[in-house]
Amino acid sequence: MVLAQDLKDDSGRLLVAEGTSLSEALISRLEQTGAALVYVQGDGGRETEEALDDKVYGKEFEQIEARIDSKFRRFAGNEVMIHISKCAKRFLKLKIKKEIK
Amino acid sequence: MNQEEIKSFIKEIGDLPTLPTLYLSLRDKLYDPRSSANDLARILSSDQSICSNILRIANSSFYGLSGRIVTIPHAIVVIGFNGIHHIVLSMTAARMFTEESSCSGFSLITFWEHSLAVATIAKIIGKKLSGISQEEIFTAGLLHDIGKVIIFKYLPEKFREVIVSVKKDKVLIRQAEENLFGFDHTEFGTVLLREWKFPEMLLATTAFHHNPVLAKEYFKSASVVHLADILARSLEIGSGGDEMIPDLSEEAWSALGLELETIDEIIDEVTPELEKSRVFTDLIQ
Repeated sequence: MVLAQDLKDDSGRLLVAEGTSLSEALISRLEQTGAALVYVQGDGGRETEEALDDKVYGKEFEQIEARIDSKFRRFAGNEVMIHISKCAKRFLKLKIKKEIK
Repeated sequence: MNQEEIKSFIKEIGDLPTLPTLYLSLRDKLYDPRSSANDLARILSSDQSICSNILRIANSSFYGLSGRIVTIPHAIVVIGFNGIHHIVLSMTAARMFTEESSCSGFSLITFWEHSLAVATIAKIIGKKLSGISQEEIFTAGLLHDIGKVIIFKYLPEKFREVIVSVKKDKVLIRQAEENLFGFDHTEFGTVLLREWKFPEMLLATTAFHHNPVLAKEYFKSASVVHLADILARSLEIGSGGDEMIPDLSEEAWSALGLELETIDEIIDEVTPELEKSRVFTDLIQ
């Protein structure tokens, strides 16, 4: 994963230059700086914070996805319950991010 | 099994727990239209623990009156008779069932966490609707599953079988109760709350939070608790003894008239509102 734009702090100082390869260590450091959004080069698209989160919290997020999908499996086709399941996943992912930090 | 049969069934094992005289005296005064804040304060002042708890709740972020309430008469005037009634009522009922469980797979700590989450979410939903008292719906959420702790207290061996069945058969706790006893915790809880002469609304939300359409005139309140229970389970806050998500009543969802996007708004409020409600957990446990 390669940074698609220069990443600068609030005062405009360059933190990471465009084209830099994002290693696990660098992603962790970016997390610590509180960077809310970075753009990375993808297959013709832009990956956002979600992609970064998936990279860092991938294992925990997969467990949440699997657990909630299993609990809501019997509600397939129920628009309200599907929406609740999406909200629950978002809530639990945010919670796990806060706990890990 | 009807209510009388359940009642006699409980009495065979032991008498139902009785409410403290302080609460009964307070309730008499609350229902007397001639009562003043000082009359209520005189009754409450006989129990310093209740007084300090009321002041703690009044000054917590739950009411947003931080540090401004220093006397019980002041708390009564600011929170109101109804608010005081529901604080004392929920504290009294909840504190009668707090001893730690020895039943594997069921913990009273996570049970009250779940109940507090349902209470908090019910309050958030209630704010978005007309005609819902926030104090009442909070208490309804807090006590909606009280029947489970009564089964736990009166039929501990049977309750263990329920928990084993929940895990083994992957069923909701009420389905396991129905299979083993022929009735479930909603019926048990309603018998107790009726015996305690709690408000009809609380009886209805306890009895019908799984099937709100049967709650008749309290259909809307029961629907709020029903949705709050589903959301608390979905967000995995605490545990009422099983991890499954019950069916959402289509009638209840329609009656509440909420948009799908409102669920996002409700869930966004859960964490900060739950933080405000923590004062109740501290006092219960």
